[in-house]
Amino acid sequence: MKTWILILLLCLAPQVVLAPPKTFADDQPYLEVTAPANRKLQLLVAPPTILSGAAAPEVAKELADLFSFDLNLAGTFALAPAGTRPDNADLVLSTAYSASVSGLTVECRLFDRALNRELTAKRFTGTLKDLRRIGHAFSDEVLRAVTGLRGPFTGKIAYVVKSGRGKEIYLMDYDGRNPQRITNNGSININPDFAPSGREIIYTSYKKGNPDLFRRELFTGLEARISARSGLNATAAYAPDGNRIALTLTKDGNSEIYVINKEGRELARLTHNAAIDVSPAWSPDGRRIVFNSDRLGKPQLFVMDADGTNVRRLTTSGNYNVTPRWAPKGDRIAYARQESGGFQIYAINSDGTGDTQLTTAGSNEHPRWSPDGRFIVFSSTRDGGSALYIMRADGTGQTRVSPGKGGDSHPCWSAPW
Amino acid sequence: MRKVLVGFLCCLVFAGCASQEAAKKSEPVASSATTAPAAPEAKQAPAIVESAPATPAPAPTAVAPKAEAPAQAVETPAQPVVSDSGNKAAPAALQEELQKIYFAFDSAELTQESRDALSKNADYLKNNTAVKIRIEGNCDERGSDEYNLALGERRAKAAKDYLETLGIPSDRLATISYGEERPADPGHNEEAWTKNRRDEFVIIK
Amino acid sequence: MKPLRMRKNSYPGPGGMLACSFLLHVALLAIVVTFRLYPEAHPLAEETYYVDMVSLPVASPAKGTPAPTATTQQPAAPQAAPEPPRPAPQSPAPAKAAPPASRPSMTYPTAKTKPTTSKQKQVQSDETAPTGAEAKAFQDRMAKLERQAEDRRQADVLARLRKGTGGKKGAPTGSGTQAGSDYAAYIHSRLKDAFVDTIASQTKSPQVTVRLVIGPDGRIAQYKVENSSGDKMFEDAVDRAVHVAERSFRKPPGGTPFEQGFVFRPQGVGLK
Repeated sequence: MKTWILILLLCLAPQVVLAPPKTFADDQPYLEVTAPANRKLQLLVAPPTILSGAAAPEVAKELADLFSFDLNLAGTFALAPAGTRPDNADLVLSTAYSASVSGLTVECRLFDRALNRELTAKRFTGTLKDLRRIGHAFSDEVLRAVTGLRGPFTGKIAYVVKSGRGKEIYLMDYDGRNPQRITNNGSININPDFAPSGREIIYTSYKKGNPDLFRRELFTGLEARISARSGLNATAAYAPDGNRIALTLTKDGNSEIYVINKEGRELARLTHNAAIDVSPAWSPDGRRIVFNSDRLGKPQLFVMDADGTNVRRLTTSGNYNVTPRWAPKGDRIAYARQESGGFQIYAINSDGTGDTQLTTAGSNEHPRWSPDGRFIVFSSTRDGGSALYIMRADGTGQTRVSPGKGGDSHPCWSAPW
Repeated sequence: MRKVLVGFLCCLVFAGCASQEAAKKSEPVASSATTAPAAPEAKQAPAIVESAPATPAPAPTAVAPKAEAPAQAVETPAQPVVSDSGNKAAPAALQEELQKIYFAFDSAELTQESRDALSKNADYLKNNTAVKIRIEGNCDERGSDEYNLALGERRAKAAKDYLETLGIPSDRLATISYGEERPADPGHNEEAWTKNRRDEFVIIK
Repeated sequence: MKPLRMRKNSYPGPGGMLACSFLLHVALLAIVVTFRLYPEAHPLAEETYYVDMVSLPVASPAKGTPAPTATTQQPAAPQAAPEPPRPAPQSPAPAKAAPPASRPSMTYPTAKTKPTTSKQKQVQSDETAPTGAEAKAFQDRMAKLERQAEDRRQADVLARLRKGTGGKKGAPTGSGTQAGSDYAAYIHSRLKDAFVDTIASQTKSPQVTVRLVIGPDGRIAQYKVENSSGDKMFEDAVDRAVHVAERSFRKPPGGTPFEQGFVFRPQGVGLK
């Protein structure tokens, strides 16, 4: 009899212990509340006010314009037109500043009208030179407060500028402001990639003759040539751990993908193939690498484990698919496909499904994700010369950010500074 | 007996369902199926009481953006290291004797024409045994620049391999790829592209 | 009939077996019924509750839509609800119209057992007029309901006037004994109105389940997110809707706290 009691208990125990949490009284079913989904949060960027001291209309305008640009690009909000009454917005971004020769103080607040409380507030101090950085920092914060994921607007973009017969690496704010030349050697400097910290870049330069790989600290300007193997040392990509670098070397007679450490010591050779293997890019967990190979005749994208095993083809349509980059969230891979008349940017799920075209105008190349995965920065010829553009991950909101007249390419978006 | 077993299985099945349900929920609810609402939990109810309007007090967090800017440390123009695809030491006349070879789009295969040109280049190198050359692989601008770096390398390698089969020792042959970074013709048309998909042979010694 | 020779000592005999089996079955049935463990993938989606707009207890809502119908953009006035042309009042009511007519009051159990076909028809009627006998039956039923609702409304208004509380438009009128359904519908409509103005999301099919306890003072005593698909923007939108709606809440009838669960989701998502 004990056995039966035991069995009975066994049967009932889970029911008792794991009593379904969604229990409710019979006369109290869950009521469904629905609303049309095509609504965006209404955000009002209130005109900046004076905290103390004299008015500085140019400061106020720059701040208001910056917030509007950043938060409009984010796609998360519908920006209320200037002059809208605060009652008609969900969120009100208000700023107050005091600007003088000696310094700048900016107080930013994001107020939620429905909840009747501040979602976030920050006070920044600096100099007038820091104005845009302060603004971008609060834009980042607004996105964090509203979506839970910080914005990328304080990140920098490294890119390549054509300069005479050579190419130089530049750095700019994500919106194209403050372009700064990083290299100035008159040679060819290409393929910049940020370390995950955003404080270092690696790039390939011909300045010593051979295309070698250099690593450079942006703040100190210190630089080391970390790979000068015979032949190509190119298309290098930092692993998410910041310690390893995948790149293409031709030292063994054919272009193959290798992994080296930050100091340049070879850790592994990943491909063994008579074909071209270039443009490796890491998955965000560092376990896989997507790369470009013409082993089946035409350049296509392949995914392999980070030790070189388990190679499988990723792209199956298109004749010429190149420059893959894995999204920070890990689900999507952006790349460029050559079609008649140039390149277009596509994104595909990392399992090979969901191939989607994102650009149509002009020729568009070199897609790179913003560190939060919201945006893709790329180069496009739609307005004549090659220039840098930003779009949301779904292809909407394509906006030019290049500061120059043309000749900008190969962007790379850093983590927030 | 079978019924017991079936009952047991059913129980297991439902137990399985129940545990799945439970796993889905992030926080289990007090399973009061019939009772009137119990005393409201105090810890919940965020800001349900009419929250006082936000005071205009100073912002809670103060963040001073770091003033550091990237080191202006811009490289001073280095010595013009990069060979301008020609070597001033080598007389232009000698350089002229080395013929360029051309390729089809996205191809590193040597055409018959290319083989003929390479044979002449090999003859030249045999007659000038002190000369070392660098084979520079180039591509047109249409392909991907990253892929073209490798393609240029392959084009240079193709010429090098052929010259070696013609008896030129490999230590006299260096290779480099410029990808699409060094067009011979800056144009954006088929004519320019044809000229740019090439190997150049540069005397380095 | 001796399947377990080895355990003959503990074998309870055929009678015992039967008893055990019976007990188990009863227990199982009880569990299934009590906890609604029906083998359905999305019971919540199936159990969506719909109320005929005409049968709402709210006479003239202070603002917005009164009823949890499939479409929220419907005009507030009950007369303007489902669109079929008004039929002649004296057309014979077919058998189908009987259940709603005999419905005592708008309590939940009744409402829940309402056939889903009615809901489908309602949705359908928003776009194209139903056809055939079915449509006619539906129209008849609607007319009857409307007449009933109209009568009830007038009675309510009169009663309120007598009590001197006529100014409180849209207030629930249930007494303490029938607490629940009317008030639930009222709160529901308030939430729905508010949600239209706060909804926002960053994922494709977000869903948030919350449980509200409204205290005797008409304020929210407990706001508990029971389940969420993890879309912060959507969670916040629900939070906003609840807070906006709370401003227009009345006290629950009978002076007792009122508890109810709500599932928030974008229109057309998660429904089959």
